[in-house]
Formats: sequence, structure tokens, C-alpha cells
Amino acid sequence: MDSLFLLVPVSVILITIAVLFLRWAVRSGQYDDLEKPAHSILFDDDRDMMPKESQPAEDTKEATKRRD
Amino acid sequence: MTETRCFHCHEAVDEQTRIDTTLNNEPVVYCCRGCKAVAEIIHTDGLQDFYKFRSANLSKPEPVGEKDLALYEVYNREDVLDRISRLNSDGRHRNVQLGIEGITCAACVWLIENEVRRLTGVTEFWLSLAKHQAELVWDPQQLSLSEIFLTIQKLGFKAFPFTEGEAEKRLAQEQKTTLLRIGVAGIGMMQSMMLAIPVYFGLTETSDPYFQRLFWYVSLLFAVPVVFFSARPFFRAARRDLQSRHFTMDTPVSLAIGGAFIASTYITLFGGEEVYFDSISMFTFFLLIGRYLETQTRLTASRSQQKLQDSTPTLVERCVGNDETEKVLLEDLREGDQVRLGAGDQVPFDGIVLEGRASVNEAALTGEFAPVSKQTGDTLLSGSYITDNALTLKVTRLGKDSHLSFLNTLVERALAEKPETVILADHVASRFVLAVLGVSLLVALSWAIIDPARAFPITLAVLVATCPCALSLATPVALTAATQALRDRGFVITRPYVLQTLAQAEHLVFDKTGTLTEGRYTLTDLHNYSDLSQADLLSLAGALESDSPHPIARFFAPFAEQSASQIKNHAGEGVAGQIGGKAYQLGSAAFCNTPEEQSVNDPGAKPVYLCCEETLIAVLFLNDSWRAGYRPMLEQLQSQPLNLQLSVFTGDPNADSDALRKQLGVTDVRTGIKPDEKMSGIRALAEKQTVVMLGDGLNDVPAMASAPLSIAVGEASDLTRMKADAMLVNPDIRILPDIIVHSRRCQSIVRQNIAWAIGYNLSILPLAALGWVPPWVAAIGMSSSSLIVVFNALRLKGVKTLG
Repeated sequence: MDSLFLLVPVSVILITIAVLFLRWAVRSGQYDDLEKPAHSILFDDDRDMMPKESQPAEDTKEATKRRD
Repeated sequence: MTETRCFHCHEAVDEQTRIDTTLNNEPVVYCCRGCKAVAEIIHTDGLQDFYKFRSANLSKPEPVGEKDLALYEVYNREDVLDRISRLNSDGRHRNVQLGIEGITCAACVWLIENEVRRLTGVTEFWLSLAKHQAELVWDPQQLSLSEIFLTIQKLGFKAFPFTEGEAEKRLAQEQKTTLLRIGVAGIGMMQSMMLAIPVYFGLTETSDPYFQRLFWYVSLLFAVPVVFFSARPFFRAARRDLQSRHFTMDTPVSLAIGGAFIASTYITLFGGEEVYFDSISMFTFFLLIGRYLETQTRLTASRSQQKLQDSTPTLVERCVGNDETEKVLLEDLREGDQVRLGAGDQVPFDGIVLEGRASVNEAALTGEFAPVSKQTGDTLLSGSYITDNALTLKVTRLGKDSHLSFLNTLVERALAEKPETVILADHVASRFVLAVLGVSLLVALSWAIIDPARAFPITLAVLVATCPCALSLATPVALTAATQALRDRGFVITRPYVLQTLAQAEHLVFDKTGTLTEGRYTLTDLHNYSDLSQADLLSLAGALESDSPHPIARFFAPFAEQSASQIKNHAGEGVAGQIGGKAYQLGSAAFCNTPEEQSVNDPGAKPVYLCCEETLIAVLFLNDSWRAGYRPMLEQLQSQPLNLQLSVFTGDPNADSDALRKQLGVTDVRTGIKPDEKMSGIRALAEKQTVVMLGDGLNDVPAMASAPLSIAVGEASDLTRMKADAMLVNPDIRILPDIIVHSRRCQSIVRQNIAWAIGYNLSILPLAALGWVPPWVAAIGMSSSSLIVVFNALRLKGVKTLG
């Protein structure tokens, strides 16, 4: 139980850091649009970034065509 | 067979305007030329994934032409750019805030961002889905702003420079702080709960004196930022309450939080039995969430009207003698100036026609979309549209003095006289507050007599137990859930009392043109004197009318499959032109030199005559068509479970009220009434019942302002939208009964929540007064009570469909 005398202050420090992080996140506008990021992860518009060999066959053709 | 739906906008395809074609070698169907153009751009630019990603339907795009580029030309002027944008420190790039209209889902944002970012000259473009606002940084030397606007318009959206209102900006900033306050309170709550639980269950001063003291001190440490930072808005509001002597829930909240904190700190420092640090953080956390939701709803409501803050500068052509004109900004215009306005221009001031003759659409002022003819000497009022010919006008009244502003003042007056709706929760709260304060005082006095030593801790327990935590959550969560659900269905609420008043509605008053009808022409009958098919005839008419903003042309234009040459517009009469080497005329009977004809099927329809080489080949009958499903909707409103009374007021003097009565199934139909008569009609009804007015034109605005609740329908004019309490942006008015049912459900859930919250507080009150409520009971009881209220409100997330 004596370890609590150490653990409790440690948790206080961690919490302070967490709050500072939160403040930074709120101020830098990360919570301004809560809708778009939730959707944007579903848009697989990163085909161009995938290595060629792992791209689906049909899509490769399209992606190359698009880049032209 | 299922209905055919447009590939782009996903609306049901009208057989008359249907376009069958191929895209990437696959057959597709479009409903109009506008949709076809947008879909083809999206495909050429390789953004077809948009159709996979989207989760909501789009609005119908208007076809884009070179004339739109001319409209945006104003943004290329240096003085305009200086007014709307900011030059970056590098002296080259400019920064501008844009509002974008027409966004329905995240895929739209993706599409616009991708399309704009690929333009050379655009450095940064970031579009917010929540706000429908964008930040653009671009290089005006490489790319003009008008081209960016045109790119966005080609995708079927509309961009405009946008300046956020001061109040809104402040509110948004406050929301950011509130979010941080919630975070601090939440973290503080978790910590003090964690430290409180061992104290609740057996960790007492006698068993582990050091640990209990340690836990209390650490809890105090966590409570300090919660009380002094997170709970600050409550203290501030309570002080205001005291000054104004008008009590809101902030008073007992502040008393509970402040009292509990002071007492607990005292006990921690000098010894005692119980501390309330966990309850303090929990109250603050839940109360802040309620407040956050409330502000968020208000903020989205004001943002939904952002189009009305459109600060687009207008250029007009001022005559400087000898047929020469110069372009000046509207702001620089003076009374007495002579101004030339072309077809399709909106009249931005009141003026007198000096030269020319044109059909003018005064729909915004009178509600009737059929244009009226104006010639030399006639007065034009601001807000009307010139549909077919150029006019030279003398400015008589500008800006604040013009007719539009005058109407605006009328409306302001009507709004000021509108009875204020008291929100149910506010009403309950003020009584509740007084009751709580009275009871606490009584408890304190009684215990002071019985046992002075226990008077303070017990009074504190009463204050903590009766803290109106769930009560203050009850309304905002329910309203937020319902508002969100209705917004998804295309019903936008802009005032806080809308849901409550709508739930109490007894009498609905509809405007006819533009509200129950589409407010535009469609083909209702055809007399064909040639061997051409209906589609061919429409295509011919479309080609002739392809470049005119006249309401009749707006119907024909989408059918054009060929182009006409030597088009000549005869104002108020018709249009003539050459197609495939033959001379065609389209217009009135007199213009085509033929006798008048009338439709048997639709006697009220407007005949349009089409001649080829001086011979009549067809008469096309156009009329305003009713909105889909208007009749079942009106029946549904009048029957169980809604049982509403209905009236239809129309300004149309030609309407036959008996025929309308039969057609609509509504007994109270008043035709040919003027705006002020509409207003007095509504006033008379509103004396006895809760009246809701639905309308779209400016002529409806005074009537709408005097009704307890007003809803702007469809493509309502800007002023109508701005003054209305709510907007039905969904073109399908069949959802109206569902909306009313949902508002009633919302009302009953608010009632349930309030009843539960007060019931809980009342039942714990006697126990607390007797000193039987330890801190852990208060904490558990209050948080579970708040959660119940929240979960109950979440039931409003989906709108149920009637029948």
C-alpha cells in the first residue's frame, strides 16, 4: 500500500500532461470539424499510393489512365 | 417496375426530360442536362469514386455556361478582392473564406476538395463538412478567383465569399473553450471517483488515517481546476441571475458546486466526516455537456442560414452618356443614376424604366411566378428579376430606402409583436429554483433548532442532492437529437421554440404557388398539328429558348438537342430563330398570327404556340404543377393521429376557390388575397389556435412573421428563409406529417425527462433533509439519473414514417 505514496503523485503528473495535450488539440482546431474525418477514412482514394504489384488488376489500368 | 433514378442526383427521372446516354461505355440515365454535365466532369477528372462514397442525395445542378463566368467576373476586380480577401505576407498569395452551398454529405466535400486542389495556383483549400465553409489560399496572378468559383459550380455547388458574423465567431470560440472545460471536468471526475470509491467502501479515518487524508488532498487538487476553470460559466451566470433577479438553473447549480467545494475543502484541511469532490466534478461534467449541446444546436442553426450572409458584391452598368457604360459596384451607385440591366439580372434598387420593354418576374414580391410586362415609365421594385430584355432604369431609391428594405422593416415590426414562446424547461426551472432555495433554507433553520452541529452538513447534502443536473440535461439532449434527426430529413430548425410550437400546432395555413405547387411550369397538354413527336417539338422549343431566363424558357431549355441560330427575343411576345434552315417562332397567339386556343384537359393552362415557316405546328399548354403527393399529405394532416385544421391562402386572383376546395380536400380556401389580408387572416386564426404558416414568397413574409410558427418551403426567397422559424429544404413535402409527429414525440420525451428529473430530486430531497444521503448515494443517484435522461433522448435520433 505504501507504493500509493509514489503512484498517486505519478498519476497527478500524467493527468496534467493529458490536460495540456487536450488544450493543444482543442486550440489547434482538431475538434473543429467532427464529421469529415470520420467519413474521409472510408474513401479509398489512396490507390495511387499503393505499390503497383498489390493494386487490384482492374484498378491499375484505371489509375494509370488517370495519371496520364 | 421500380422508378428510374437519375445517375447523378438520384431523383426520380421525369419521362419528359429523361436523357439516355453512355458513360465509360455503360448505359446511364440522367434527369436533366445539368446532371449530365456534372457527371461527365466528375468522370473526366477521374473522381468517379464520389458516387461510391456518397451517402446522401444531391440537389439538382443548374447547367453552367459562359454567362456564369461573366457573373463571377466581379471577383477579378482589384477593389473587390481587397474587400473580400486578405493578402498574405508574401505579397503574392491571397486568403479568402468561402461559403459553399449544396453540400449534402462527406463525399461532396471530398469531391470539391479534390477538384479545387488540382487547379494550378491553388496553394491550400480546406473545406469543413460541419460548417460548409472553406479556407482558400491562392495566387491571383496564376488563377482568377472567378475560375475557382466556376470550377465549383461546374460540380453542381455554389461558392460565395463569406464573412462570419461577430456573434457567431464568438460563439464558436466559446464552444472551443467549453470543449476544454468538459475535458478537464471529465478527467477530474474520473480521478476523484477513483479516489472516492475506496473511501466509500471501508477506507475510514480509523482504519487507514494516512490514506484517507492523502486521497482527500489529491481529490482537492483535482477539484480546483474543475471548480475554478470548468465551472466558471455557471458562477458567472448565477451572478447575472442575482443582479437581474431572474433565476435560472445556474443559481442552485452554483450553490451546490460552490457550497460543496468550500465545505469539502474545509473538511479536508481541518477534519470532518464527508467530502463531495466526486459529485462536484460529476455535476460540472454533465452540466457542461448539456450546455455544449445547446450552443452547438444554436450554432448549426445559424450556420444553416449562412447563405443569407452572402456578401457577394454586385456590379452594375452605369450609363455615362452616348450609349457607353462603365461597371461600378452597387455601393458606389447614387440616386438619379442611369443604369442598364440585362436579361436575367436581379433589380438591386427601386427605379423607373427609361428605355426598353421587358417581362419582369416579381415572384419574390408577389409570389406569382408568371412574369409581368414593363415598359417606359413603369416602376421596378428591388427584388424583381428581368427575364428577357435589357432595360435602362433611373435609380429612385437605393439600399435602405428601397422597397425590399421597406418590406424588411414591416417584417421586423411583425416579429417584434409576435408573442414570445416560453420554453417549457425554462418555465419549470424558475419555479424549481425557488422551491429548492426555499426548502434548503427551511432545512437549515429546522436543523439549527434541533441540532446546530448537523445543520451545515445536512443543508449541504440537500443542495447537492437537489442539484438540477438531470433537469438541465433534459431539454438540450432531446432537442439536439430531434433537431439532428429532422435536419437529416431536410427540415432545418433555426429558432429554439420551433419543436415545441410545432408539437402544439392546431392549424396549418398553406400558401399555394410555390408551396403546394412546384412554382414552375410543366407541360400539361399538347395540341399537335404536325407529324413530329412530342419529344421533337420540345426539342425545337428548347433550342429556341435555350438562352433565356424567362420561366417558360426554364421549362423548355433542358429539352434542347440541337441549337438555333439568329435567335431574336421579342419581349412579352415570344422568340424567333432558325433551326436546320427553317424559321421557327414560339410565343403568344398574336405573335404567331393564329387564333387563340384553350386546353380542354387543363383550362387554366397557359398556351404557347409553335410555328414553322409561318404555319402553326403545335400548341403547348403549360401550367404550374402540384407537388408530388400533395393530396395524400393534406389528407394525412387532417386525419388521425394529427387532426390538424388546414387553410390554403393564395394570392392568385385567377384561382377558382370552389375547384381548389374539391381538388385539395380543404374547406377553408381563400383566393386572390393580398399580403396584408393574409397577415390579418393569420392574426385572426392565431387568436384562437396555434397556427403554423407555410410559404415561400416575399408576399408571405408578413403573414409568416405574425404566425406563432413559420416554415419556409422549397425554393423560398432569401428574405423568407431568413425570417422563417424553420425551413423545409427537402423538395418532397410529403414528409411534413412525419415532421409534426416527430416534434410531438420530442415534446413528450422532454416532458418525460423533466418529470423523471424532478421526480428523482423530489424523492431524494426528504432523505437528504433527514441526513440519510451519504456522498456516494448522491453521486450514483445523480449520474444514473442524468444517464437515463440522455438515453431516453437518444430515442429521438430516427424519424418514424407515418402509416
